[in-house]
Amino acid sequence: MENVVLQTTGLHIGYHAGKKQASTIAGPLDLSLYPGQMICVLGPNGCGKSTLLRTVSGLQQAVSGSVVLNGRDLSRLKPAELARQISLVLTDNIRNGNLDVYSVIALGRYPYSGWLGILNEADKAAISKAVQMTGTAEFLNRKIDSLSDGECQKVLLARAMAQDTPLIVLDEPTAHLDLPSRIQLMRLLHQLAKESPKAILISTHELDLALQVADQIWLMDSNGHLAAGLPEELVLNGAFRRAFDKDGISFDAATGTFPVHITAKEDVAVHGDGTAAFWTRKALIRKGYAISISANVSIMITIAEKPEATEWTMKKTGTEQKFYSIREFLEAL
Amino acid sequence: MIAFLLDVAFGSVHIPVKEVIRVLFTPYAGDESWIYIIEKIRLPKALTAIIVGCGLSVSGLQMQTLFRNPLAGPSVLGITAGASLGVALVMFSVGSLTSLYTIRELGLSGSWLIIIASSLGAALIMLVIVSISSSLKDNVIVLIVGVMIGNITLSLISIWQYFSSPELIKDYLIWTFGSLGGVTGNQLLILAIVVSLGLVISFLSSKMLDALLLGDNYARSMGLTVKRARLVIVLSTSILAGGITAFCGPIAFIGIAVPHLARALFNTSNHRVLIPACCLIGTVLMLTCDIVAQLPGSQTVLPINVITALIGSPVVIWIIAGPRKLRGF
Repeated sequence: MENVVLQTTGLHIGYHAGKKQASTIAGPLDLSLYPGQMICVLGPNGCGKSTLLRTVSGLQQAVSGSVVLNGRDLSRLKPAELARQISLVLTDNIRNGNLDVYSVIALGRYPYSGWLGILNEADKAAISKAVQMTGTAEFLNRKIDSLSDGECQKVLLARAMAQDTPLIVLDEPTAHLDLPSRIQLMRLLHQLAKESPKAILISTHELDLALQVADQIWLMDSNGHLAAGLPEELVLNGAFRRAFDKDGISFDAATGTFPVHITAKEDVAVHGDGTAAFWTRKALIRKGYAISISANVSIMITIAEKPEATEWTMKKTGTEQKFYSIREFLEAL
Repeated sequence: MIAFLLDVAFGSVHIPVKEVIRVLFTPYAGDESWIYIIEKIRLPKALTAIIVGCGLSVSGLQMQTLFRNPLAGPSVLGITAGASLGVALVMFSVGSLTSLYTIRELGLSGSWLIIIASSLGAALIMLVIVSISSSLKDNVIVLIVGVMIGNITLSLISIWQYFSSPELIKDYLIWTFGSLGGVTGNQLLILAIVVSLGLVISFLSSKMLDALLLGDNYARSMGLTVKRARLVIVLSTSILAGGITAFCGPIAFIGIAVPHLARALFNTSNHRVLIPACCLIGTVLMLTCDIVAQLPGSQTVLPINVITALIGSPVVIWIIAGPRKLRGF
């Protein structure tokens, strides 16, 4: 793959605190991003996700190392040229100035329009394409401050699309969104990356969603290391566990989640398949039991999904009882 | 246009509107004293009102966008105070009074000197506030800082006033009431040139202003060189506010109120539309204020600042407490 969109070599990111001093947060980073790829940057708070995104998009200076965009060094690009390479969706508040949705999206054409900012036919075509792809047509005439957070993010994405750049960078686009909006947005981004040659780089805390949609994950830990790879690879090789290991919270590779319940009272064996069995296990874990597969346990539950009703059979210290809802047998435990 | 005619018509000497139209559009007709009043006093005053209305409104609009703050305006953030300081310093070094009469005595070069000093004073304050505001995220803090800097500037002027003679203080006070009437002839020409220059620069930067609506980071990501844009905007704002303050005194509230009226009436955020809209509304409002100030039918003329504050303050209250909740700007 020769047409790399973004490549960093020996990149150290951080802040320039004083005149000469620079405090490095992470590095050296050697990363590359290809057209059509969607990459999620994951990591605990304060590990430098935003700093990384700001550095590769030219909002912040690198401490050392180089960032190359489509074969050209970032530091040598003029602002106007850079604006045709990267478009951004940031966490900055934009709800002001009497802006309506169309104006915000139209601002995406800023790098292309003339000195007075008058839009030509090509600009309008790019805007309507961005509107159509993001599904923002229904609130084009509304004011930006009347939108919900989810709608607002879609509008900002449409603005970035209208800017028509090979790389779109989004800094925590799912923050403050409710669950359906988060899934919608991630799905939308995934589709964009698949259907267009655009590369998409996002930072997020949505581990679960990122595992589902990302072509690659850049996983940062608090010590400034970054592990890049397929989501599944990073789960299997323990990178997730290392990155998030903190205060007794650990990543469970078997379920792909961070278990909330840590101490187990007793082992329970659950026999059965299907949805009822899955949720039964969840309920037991929530109640503080550990699920065991061995036969040497005092409590054993068998689930049978019958056409008329689901039946739970609990064997406990020799006695056997039948139940017809999860609540009943949890109370009996 | 109607406001313009009415403004020329009303004054301490009553002249019928019909006569006004005749004097304006047909040469050498009507009562000679009326012609004199209209050509030498009323017309320059109305033209000054137009220039002031355009200039202050547009400078206010630019500041509100630059600081992303609905309460920004030349009089609020101490820009006119800075301009006053510039004027006061010139007067002090010349060793003369700070009144329009002395400005007139200084002649053409003196007028330029005062405009430049006043604009520099305005630019100085703006640069201070811009540099402070770039490190502050909170709009309210920027506003407080601006008001405080304005106070510092005004107290510098007060110190100077304290050591001045009562006549000087009285002159200065009259100047701070604001006046549209003192600008005639060459001064009017200079003011017109300066304000037009400011307006042209500001119209040419309307695209930059649009980009700044989304904040510095977005503006930068769209290819705007934010530092340069800021300098250009500071320059044109200072020219507008400084020039006008030099000749007409610190006229309050027009700069903060008109941009909001323009946004509400034209329902847009596009500066290509808002700048002319501000000029239009600013002109109408300023002429109206001037008409009211003359108290039609009476012999008295109120200071213009009294009237602009009467109209401007309710607008500010509307912004803060009104139904549209522009506080989040």
